[in-house]
Formats: sequence, structure tokens, C-alpha cells
Amino acid sequence: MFIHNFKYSLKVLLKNKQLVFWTLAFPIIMAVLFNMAFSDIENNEKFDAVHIAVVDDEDFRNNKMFSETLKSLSDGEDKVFEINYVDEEKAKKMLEDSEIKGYLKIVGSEPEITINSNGVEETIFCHVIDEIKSDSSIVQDLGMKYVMQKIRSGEYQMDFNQAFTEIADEMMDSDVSVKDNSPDNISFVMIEYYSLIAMACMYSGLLSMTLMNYRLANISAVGKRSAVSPAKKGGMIMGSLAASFLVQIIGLVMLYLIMIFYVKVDFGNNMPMIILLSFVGSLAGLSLGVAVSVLIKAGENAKLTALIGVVMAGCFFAGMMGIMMKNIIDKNAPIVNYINPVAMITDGFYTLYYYNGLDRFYIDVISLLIFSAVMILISLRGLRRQRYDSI
Amino acid sequence: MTVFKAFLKVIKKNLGTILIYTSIVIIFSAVNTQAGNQSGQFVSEKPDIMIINEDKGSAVSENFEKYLQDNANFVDIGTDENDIADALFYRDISCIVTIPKGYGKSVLEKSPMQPEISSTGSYEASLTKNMIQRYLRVQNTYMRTKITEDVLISSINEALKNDTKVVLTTKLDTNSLIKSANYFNFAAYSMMACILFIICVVLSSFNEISVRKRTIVSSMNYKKFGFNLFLASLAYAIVVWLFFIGLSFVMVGDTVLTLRGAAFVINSLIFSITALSLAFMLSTLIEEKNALSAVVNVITLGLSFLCGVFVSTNYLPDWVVALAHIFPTYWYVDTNVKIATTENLRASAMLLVTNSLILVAFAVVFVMTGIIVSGKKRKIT
Repeated sequence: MFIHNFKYSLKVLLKNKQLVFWTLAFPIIMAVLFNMAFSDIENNEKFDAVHIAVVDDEDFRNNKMFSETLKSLSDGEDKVFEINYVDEEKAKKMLEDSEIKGYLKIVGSEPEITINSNGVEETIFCHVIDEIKSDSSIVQDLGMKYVMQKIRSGEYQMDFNQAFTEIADEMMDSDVSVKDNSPDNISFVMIEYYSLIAMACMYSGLLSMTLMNYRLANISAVGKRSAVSPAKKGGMIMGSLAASFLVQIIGLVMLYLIMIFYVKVDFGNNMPMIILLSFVGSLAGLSLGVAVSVLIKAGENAKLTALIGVVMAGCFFAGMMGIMMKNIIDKNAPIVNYINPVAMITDGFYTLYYYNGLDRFYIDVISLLIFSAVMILISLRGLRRQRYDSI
Repeated sequence: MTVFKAFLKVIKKNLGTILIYTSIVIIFSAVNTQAGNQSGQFVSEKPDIMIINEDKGSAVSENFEKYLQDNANFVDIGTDENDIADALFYRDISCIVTIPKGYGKSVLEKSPMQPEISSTGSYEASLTKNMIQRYLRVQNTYMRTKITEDVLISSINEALKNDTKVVLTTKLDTNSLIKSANYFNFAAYSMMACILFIICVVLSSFNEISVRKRTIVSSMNYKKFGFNLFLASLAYAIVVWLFFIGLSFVMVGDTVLTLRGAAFVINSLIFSITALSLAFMLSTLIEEKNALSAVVNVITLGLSFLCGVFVSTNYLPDWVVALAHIFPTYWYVDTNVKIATTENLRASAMLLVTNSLILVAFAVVFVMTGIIVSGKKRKIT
């Protein structure tokens, strides 16, 4: 009976075009769209040279500290600025047309910055100008002290220029390095892909729900016939679930292939754990489908809408429609994501990618198992002792 | 009237779907208006960082910490390692700066230890690194001269006074305008989904062979029937549009009442008409009713991802932006962005009108295609 049921369940599933679309094609289409939308987002986050202008007048050319430092800052591979040397009118025009972030004018010996709005690039601009200014004041300060010291010790003959240059060089050469412990795996776009896999896992509920509808006497004619048949209900349901699981795994394998070879998603290195999480996630999806099918006493379409609604809401809270959402929920209403299977799956992948230990991962897996068990228990209670005198 | 009634019936049946799309835009906008820099377009000028000072009690280290606190937004995450790691991953902070134990002493002994940073590699993190290096340069320069701890600290603070004159020129309230643009951009997804889905379902119900046969043999004039159907669809699209305009008052407030607000509103009206004509074309092209939700979902999500609704066009790869030019949503989003960011609205009026004309051209093409296709299908054998 199991084999018979398994075979026909497979046929039913694969011939249902709508189902094939939602469970197999839709996640792949989304993955391709995500890839198009997000492939550049983190390159843009990295530092690019800031476009500025400098008012190239007498005052600026006379101020060696500024003119030379800015020249060196706009040279080479990791330059800070892309500088246009123009007159003041042109600089104003460029700022108005948003071609530059701001411009610098030297008035007397004081720098003056004009910017359009507050932003990180504008702030970097101001910081660097501040820095040049404070550096030159330090050189002045230390230079004067040096001169005073020499005079006090009775030495009146000295090369001022050389003394100042030495102080400036010494300052520029001083070691200002910091120890960089930044993690490599910090790409937060990954959350999108993880929540997409979580969605695909949960959509397996559509498969189990479709098959369950064939087993329910109040939904379909096939359900009535199987209700009166002497076949064991347990065997029939197991056959249906096994078929749903197989189709689900085929869909997931396709999705993984696309994600690994085309989108190049980083899943970390722990393959066995990724497979474990996918299996447990799919189990949670299947059991959710069974529960919705059994518990909601309504037509097929209402059940479908309910299931897709629940899964989509879960995806939303797990960060699929805006990566920050998961973090906002985790911080402010953690209970929502403790009972949200999509968030548990997403969090499991996130843990494998970002953390070294597996403790948090196991908590996610165990939560998913508990979720599945609860769903199945509720469904069993609903399924038992279903008797119809007439229908 | 019969046509209108049938229309209402279909809407009632699909109220659940409409509610889902509407609530998505409400939650989106709510999150977006609260969390400020979600879209990555507006960022505060001070980077958000976390400082771990393991060298409390040393005046040198505390001065360093104070400098960072004055020049950055200090975010207190607590001491839990997981919480700190999560905060860095989700960009609550752009970097973590650790001042190691014994740092102050090492500076006074003229062999300073290295402070540690752990960052996301973003602009804000570069800014923080730049700030730290500036501080270290000043500190290390003064450190080499023979001075006491107190003089060292006061010399550092004196040298680091930021007093460059900065002139801010903008007269625009960029923040609230960008919020409005984001709201109207998100609305593109929900409006399009609500309009496409319902209109396609209704029109294809009327296109079903049995229904069409009955309509043709009925006493109703074919042209009048078509006109009524058009009026009903238009009325529905306008209702959807009005709803999102009403919602915009709640979500973005008074900005809608300004000249720029009016520009957003007009732009969204043109867009909803374009969406309506797209729905008309799709309903003539798609034969199977079951395929509708699949096609509508792929189209609305696809257009939203590729045209800058979910992810700002600044962050999309160039080739995707180039591709997006062939979709109406791109022109709608582009107009919104221009309305929000252009310094002089009147001077750029021509640009906005051109964008709107392109949207209208799309609508015309969709309607023409629809008419041609439905004309070819009119004969039932």
C-alpha cells in the first residue's frame, strides 16, 4: 500500500503545474532576482575616493601644507580624494549639480569647506581637512618649542626650514597602525539567500497539504473513497509524506545548485550541518502543511491562502524583504522569531556562516524539531476519530 | 451596473490577497520611517561604533576613549559576545574599537601598543579608522617629546580641536523627502500587485469562453459592455491609488502637501494607470486562470527588484539599471528620486515631464497590444 500510494502521490504532485511553480520554480526565480539586485550592494559599501573641488587661487598655492598634502592624498591606488582644481564659480556650479561632495577654499591661511548636506563622504572630507590643519599647528608648536630650546641653550645659528621639515617628517612617519581583527564573513546579503532557502523549505507545506486534501473526506472525492477503503490510514499518509519529501528534496537540490554555482552564496564549510538543517527545515514545512490542511476547515483555496500567508509573514520577520527586519525582531520581540520556523532556519544558516561554535545552531535545529512535533501532534489529534455519518 | 456588480464580487472574493499586499506596504513604510537609514541613502555624519576600554583608570586611555565618544555615536550593546557579533553583522555598529589593557602605560613608556578594531569595511568604518589614526599620530608625536602625562593629554586635545569653518548650502529637507520617495517607491510594488492581480482575475473571468458566449448572445451592446468593463477597472485602479495616497499622509505626513508632494502624487497616479493598462494586456495574453497568480507575482517582484523599488538603483549593478530602462517601474522610481533630490524643482520640470510621458507611452503600448490580441481572439469557433 505504501509503495502504491507513494507512486500515485508523486504523479499527483508533479502533474500539478501550480504546485511545481511555487515549490520548484519560484525560489529559483527569486534567487536569480536577488542575485541581480544584490550582487553589487556590498561593493558600493566599500570606500571609494571622494570627489571634491579645490578653489585654485593665490592663497591656496601659497599654502604648501595644504596644496602638497592634498596632492599626495589624490595620488596612487588607495587615494582618498578625486580633486578638481577650479575657480570658485565653477566649484559652486559643480556642487549644485552634485558632481562633487564639497569644495575647499583657503582664506588667508584658514581652510573653509562648503558642502551640500551631511553625509559620510562629506564628513570624511571635513575630517581630512581638520587633520591637515591640526598637523600643521603641531609642527608650528613643536617647531617653536625646538627653537626656544636652542635659544635657551645659547645656540643662535640653526636651519629653521630643516628643523620644521624634520618635525613634519617624524610626525608623518610615526606608526599609527591598528590591529585589524575584522571578520571575513560579514556579507549581510547572505541573510536574504538563507531566508529564501528557508522559504523553499516551508513551501514544502504546499506539497503535503495538497496530498492531505486527497485524504480528507470533507475536501475531495478521492478523500471519501480512501476513507471508506479498508487500507490503513497510517500507511497512506506515510506514503504521501514520503512523496512530498522526495519532491521537496529535488527542489532544494536544484535551488542549492543554482545558489552555489551561479549566485555563489557562501554557506560556510560545514556541509553535513547544511544538509541536516535543510532536512529538518523541510520536515517543519511538511508538518506545517499537514497541520494547516487538517485544522482549517475550509476549501482548498482558503487553505492555500492561509499557508502562503503564514509562510510569507514568517519570511518577512526573518528578513527576506529587508535584512534588518530579522535583527529588529530578534532585539525587540524575540518571542516572534522563537516560534517562527523561517527565522529558525535562517538563523541556523547564519550561525553556520558567521559563528565558529555550533551551540546556537543546535538550538535552532532542536526548535525546528519541536515545532514539527507540535504540528504533527496537533494534526494527529485532529485526524483521529474522524467519522462521517453522511457527507 | 451588472458589470460593476460582478467586479465587486470578484474583489470581495480576493480581499485576503489585497490585504496581504497592503499590510506589506504599511509594515515596510513603518519600519522604513522608524529606522531612518534602511535604504542606505541617508547616513548620519557620525559613525556608530562600540568602544571596549580594557584599560580603565589610565588617563591616557580614557582620553582616547573620550575622543572617540565625542566624534562618533557610541552604541552600548552590553557585554554579551554574541550580541556584539550580531550588532556588527547587522550594521548596528560599523566597528568595534578595543583599547587593550596596559595601553596608557605603554604610551607613557614610548612604545605604544596597537588598539584593535573589528569592522564591516564600510565607509563609516573607514571614517572611524581615519579618526583613530589621526588621534594616534598626534599622540605619538607628542609622546616622543619629553612631557608629563597631563601636558601630553592637554597638548593632544588642543591639537585635535576641530575648528575648520564649514558652510552648509542645502535648503532641502533631504531626510523627509527621501522618506517620502521611499514610501512612494514601495507603494509601486503594492499598487501594482493589487491592480494587476484583481484586474487580471476579473478580466480573465469575463474572458472565459462560456461567459463570453453568454455576453455575446445577450442583449447588451458589445461596445457598451467593453466600456463598462473599462470604467469599472479604472474606478478600481483609482480607489487603490486613493487608498495609497491616504496612507501616505499617515506614513510621511505633511510632505505630501508641498509642491514636491504633489509631484509624488501625480507621478503615482500616472503609474497606476500604466499598471492598469499592463493588467489589461496580461489578461488578454494569459489563457489559464491558474497561471495568473504565478505570472503576476513574478512580474511585480521582478520589476520591483530590478527597477529600484526594493534596492535603490545606486546599489544595483550598471547592467541591471541599463536593463531596467525597458520597464515602466524604472521611470516611476526615477521620477520619485529626482523629485526628492533635485535642488531646483522648477528647473528640472522638463526631466520629470519626460519621465511621465515615457510612462504614458508604456500605457499606450500595453493597451494597443491588448486590443490587437483580444481582437484576434474575438472569434469563437
